[in-house]
Amino acid sequence: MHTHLKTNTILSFLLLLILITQIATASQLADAPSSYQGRIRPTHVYAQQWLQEIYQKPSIKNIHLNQFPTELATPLQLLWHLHFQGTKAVQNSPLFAIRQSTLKQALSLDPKQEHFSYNQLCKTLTTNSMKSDDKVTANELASLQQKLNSFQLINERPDNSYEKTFLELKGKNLSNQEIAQQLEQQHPLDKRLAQAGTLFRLLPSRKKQGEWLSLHALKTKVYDSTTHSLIPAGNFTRFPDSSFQKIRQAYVKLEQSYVTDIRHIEEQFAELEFLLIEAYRPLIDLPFLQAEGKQLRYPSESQLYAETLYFRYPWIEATIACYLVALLLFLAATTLTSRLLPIAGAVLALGMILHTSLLALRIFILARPPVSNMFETILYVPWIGMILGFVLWSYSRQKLPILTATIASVILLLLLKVTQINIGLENVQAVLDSQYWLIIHVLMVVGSYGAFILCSLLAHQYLYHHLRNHTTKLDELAKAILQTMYIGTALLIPGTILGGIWAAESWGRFWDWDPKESWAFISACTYVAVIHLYRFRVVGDRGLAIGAVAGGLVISFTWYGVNYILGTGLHSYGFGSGGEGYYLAFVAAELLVIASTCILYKKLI
Amino acid sequence: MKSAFHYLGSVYFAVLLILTTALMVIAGTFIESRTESHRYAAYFTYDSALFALLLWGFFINILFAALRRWPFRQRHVPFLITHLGLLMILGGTIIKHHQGLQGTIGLMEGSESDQVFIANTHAISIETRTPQGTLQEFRLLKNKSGNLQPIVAAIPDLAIRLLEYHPHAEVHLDSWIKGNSCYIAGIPPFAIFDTRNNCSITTLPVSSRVTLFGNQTCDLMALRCSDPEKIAERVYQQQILSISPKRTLLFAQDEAGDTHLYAYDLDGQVSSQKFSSTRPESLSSYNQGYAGYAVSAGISFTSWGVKEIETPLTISHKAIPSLKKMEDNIPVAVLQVTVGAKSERISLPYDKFGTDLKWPVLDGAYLVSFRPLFVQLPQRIRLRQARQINYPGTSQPYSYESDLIINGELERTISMNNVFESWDGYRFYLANISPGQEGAVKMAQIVVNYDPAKYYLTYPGALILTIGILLLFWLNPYKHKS
Repeated sequence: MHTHLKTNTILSFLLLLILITQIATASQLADAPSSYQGRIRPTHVYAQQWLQEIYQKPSIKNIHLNQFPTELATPLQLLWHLHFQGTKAVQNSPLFAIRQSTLKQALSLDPKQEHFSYNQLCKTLTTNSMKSDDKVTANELASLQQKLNSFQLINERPDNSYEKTFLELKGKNLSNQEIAQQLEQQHPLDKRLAQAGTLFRLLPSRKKQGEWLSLHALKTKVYDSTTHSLIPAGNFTRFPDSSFQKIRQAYVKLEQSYVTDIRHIEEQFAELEFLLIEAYRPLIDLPFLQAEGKQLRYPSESQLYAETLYFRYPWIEATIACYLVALLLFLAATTLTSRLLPIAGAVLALGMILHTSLLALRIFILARPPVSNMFETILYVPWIGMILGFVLWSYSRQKLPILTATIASVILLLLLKVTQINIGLENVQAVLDSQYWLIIHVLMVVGSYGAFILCSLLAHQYLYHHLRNHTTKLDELAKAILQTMYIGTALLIPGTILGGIWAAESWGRFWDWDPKESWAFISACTYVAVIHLYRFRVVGDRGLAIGAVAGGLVISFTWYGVNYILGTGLHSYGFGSGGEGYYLAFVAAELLVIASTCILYKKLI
Repeated sequence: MKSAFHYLGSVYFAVLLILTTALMVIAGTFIESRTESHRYAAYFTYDSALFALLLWGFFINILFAALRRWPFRQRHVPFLITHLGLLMILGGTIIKHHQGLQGTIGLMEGSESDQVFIANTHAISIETRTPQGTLQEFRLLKNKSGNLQPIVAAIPDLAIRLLEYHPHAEVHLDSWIKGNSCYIAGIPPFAIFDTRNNCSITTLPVSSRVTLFGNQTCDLMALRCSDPEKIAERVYQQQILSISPKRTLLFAQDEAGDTHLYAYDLDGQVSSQKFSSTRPESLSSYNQGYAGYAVSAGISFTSWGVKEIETPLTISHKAIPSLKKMEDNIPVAVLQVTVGAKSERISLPYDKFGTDLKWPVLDGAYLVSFRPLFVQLPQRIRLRQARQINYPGTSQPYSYESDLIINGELERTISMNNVFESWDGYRFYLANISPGQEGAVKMAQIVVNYDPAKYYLTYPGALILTIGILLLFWLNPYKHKS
C-alpha cells in the first residue's frame, strides 16, 4: 500500500506542477482587468463578485431566472445591461438577499423568502421607519441601505449641464480662454470623469493613483479653444494614447449597437476586451499605490488568470468530494477488501492536491500567506491537519492521524460551504500588512489549531474505543494524541510569544490581555496543564484523551468564540456574527462527552 | 517545611496555578465583552492583587521545581531551558514595568512636543506665570485624601491637599447661569426663576431692568425650564401683547444644562443662540488663562447693530455613580491649594490627554490642572504631516503614515509595522490618526516606548523558551516520567 501511495502522491504532485505551469505560462489573458472594491480583478470575476455582494450567490438561481429578462442570465450580461440601460428592467426582480430573520421581521418581509426586489425593499423602507436597538440588525440594515443606494446610483448619468454651460458662455461674447477657464471652474474634468459611472471601472486614471474610471468616462467631452467646440476628452488613462483612441471607438460603437442592433454584439464585446487587455499589458508590475515601505503593483496576467481559475472551478466542493470518497474507500478497504487501499490513497492524495492548490492559488493571487480572515483560516487549519497526518503516516506508518485529519477537513470545509462565508479575494487590513510577521506568528498560531483539532478528534476516537474495550488501537491512538498535542503546543506557545514580539515591535507593547491574546494564553495553559499532569503520571492515557477533548474546546473558542461571541478587542480581522446557537450546541455536546466519560470511567474502575 | 518546599515546587501546585490563572483570564475576557471595557475587566482580573500573587506563585513554583532537581543531570536540561526562558520573560516584563516607559504623544499636524503622557495615571500639575514658567507636578493616588507629595518641589510654600475624589462626575462648563443666579459681566447678577414647578404661572417674571451699552434699557429674564422653545414663544407673545414692550434678553437653561439666549427687539425681531455646557462655542482667555476665561454672545438688532455681552466661564461638577465602561469615566478631584497664607478650594475634572483648559487659582497666580503624568523625552518630535492612504476606490485603509521631524533636523516617516527607533533606544509608533476624512487637520497619536530589558531578557527569553519546548518535544516525549 505504501508504495502505491507514494507513486500516487508523486503523480498528484506532478498534476499540481502542471497546474502551476499552466498559470505561469498563461500568455493570453481571457478577461480584461477591472477595479472593484480596491482590487484589480478579471471582468468576469468582477461581475460575479458584484452579484455575490447583493444577491449572495455568484450566479442567479434557476428558480429566480424567470423573474429576470431572459437575456440577462449571467452576471456579466446583467451588469452590461445595467451599465447601458440602467436598473429599470430588473427593479422588480429578486436581486437583494436578506438572510437575517430579525431584519426581515423588522421590515415586515416574508420570513420564508431570501431574495427581494429593489422596488419591494424601497417601499418597505419608506413605510417602516425602523430603528433597531440590536447592533447586528442595525448594521445589516445600514449595509442594505448602502447597497440600495449604490444600485440607485447606477442610473445616475452625467447630465448635459456641461453642454448647457458651454452654450450659455458661447452666447456671452467671452474669449476662448475665458470660456475654457469658466467651464473648468464650474465643471472640473476630474470630477466629471470620476462621476461618469459606477460600473465597469476598466480605465486606470492617469491623474489619481490607483483610481479606475468607468467606461462611461470615454464619452466625456471637453472644450477645445482652437476649434471653439466640444470634442472628446484626450487620453485620461494610463493606457498608451493609440490604445486609448481605439478603445474609445470600440466602446462608442458597442454602446450604439447595444441599444439599436445587437446582431454583432458578441464580436464587438470581444474586440473591446482584446483592446483593453492589449492596453493593460504595458502596465503590468508597475506600482499604482505608493505608501511608506510598501506599494501595490498592477497584477500580472498569470495572477489575473489564476483568479479566473479560482472562481471557475468548484475547488472546495471537489476537495470535499475527494476526501469523502477516500474515507468511504478506506472504510470499504478495511471491511471488505484491501485491494481498494491504493485507490483510496490515490483519491486522498488528489484531495490533498486540490486543497493545496486552492491555498496556493490564494497565495499566488493575493501575494500573502492565507491566514488573514476567517475563510482562509478554515481552509488552512485542516490543511495543516492533513500535512501533519501525512507526516505522521510517513514517519511511523500510523494511518489513524491522516484519516482523522480527513474527517476534520470534511467537517471544516463543509462548514465553510454551509455558512457561506464569502470566498472572495479581498485586501488585507493595514495592521496585518507585514508579510514577515504574518508568516511567522499567524501561520504558527493558526497552524497549531490544525494540530489541536486533529488531537481532539483522535481523543474522541480513543474515548470511543476505550468505552468499547477495543484495546488494540488504544496505544497507537494515545501516542498520536500525545504527538499532535506536542506539535500543537510547540507551534502555539512560541507562535504566541512571537506575536508578543510583533506587538512589541509594531505597537510598542508586548502583552495587553487583548481577548485573542488572553485566549491564546488560556489554550496554552490548558495544554501545558494536561502535558504536566501526563508527564508526571498524575493522569494516564485516558486523562490525556479527556484533556485533549477539553483542549479542543478551548481552541474552538480561541478560534471562533473570540471573533463571533466575544467580538471585542484589537484582533478584529474577521469579526462576524452567526452560528452562535450551533456553536453553543457543540460546546454543550463536548462538555457532555467529557462529563459522561469521566463518570463512566469512575464506574469502570 | 520540607513538604511545603516540595509542594510549592510540585506539579500539583503548577497545575493549580495554571488552571486558576486560566479561569481568571476567561472571566476577564467575558467581563470585557459584556461591559465593552478593557479597564473594568483588568481591574477585577489582570490588575488585581490575586493575579499578581499568582504570578509570584509561578515564579516560586518554577524556581522550586528547578531547585528540587538539584543536582542537575543531563535529562533536566530541556526542562531547565524552558523554565529559564519563562523566568527571563517574566523578569523582562517586571523590569520594563519599573524602569521602562510607555507613553503617548498627541500631535496636531504642524505641532511639536517633547512631553509624553502616561495613560491612566493621575497627577496634579501647577504652573506659575514666571518667565521660565515653573511647573510642578504632584502624583495623585486615588481615594487617598490628604497632602499630596510633589514629584519635584519647584514652587516654595506650595501645598496641595486632596479633599475629595469622585471616580465619575458630570462636568459642566457654566457660562451665563451659575447656581441660582445669572451673570453678565459689568452688571450685578440677577435671579433665576424656575418654571418647571410653576406650570400655572401666567406671566413670566422679569428679573432685572438694566441699562446696557450706555443708554439702552433692557429687560433681563432668566429661567430654568424643560422646553426653552416654548418659553421663548411665550415671552414673544408677552412682548406683542404688552402696551410698552421692552428690549428683552431671555436666558433659558434646559434639562441638559445648556443655556439658550433669546434676544427680543422692540419691532418683534428675535435672535437666538445656544451655549453648550460641555463645549464652549466661543472662548476668550484673559492673560493666558491666569485671569480666567470668558464666553461672549453677540446680540444683533437692527436698531443698535451688533453688541457683545460677556460672562466668566467656570467649571462645576456633580458626582454620579461610576460607569462600567471605566474608559468613559471622568474622575474629579477636589483640592485645597495653599501657598503661604493664601488658600483656595478648587474642583478639577480629569483631563485625559492634558490638552484642555488649565484653571487659575489664588487670584490668578497659578494655573492648575488634573491630568496624566507627563514625562520629558530626550527628543523633540514635530508632526509634519499625517495621512491615511486607502485602497483605491474604497474607504478601507491601506496604510497609515506620519512624517516626523526629530530634534528639528532628522526627518522620518513612521507607519503601522514601521517604527522609528532613536539611537538611545526610544521607539516611536504610530498608534492612531484622526479624523479619517480628507482635508481635515489630522491628529496623530504616537506611542513612545522605552524598554531597557527587552534585548537582554524578554527576547532572548522567548528564544530560549522556544528552544526548550522544541527540546522537550524532541527528547523522549512519549514516555511517562518514571
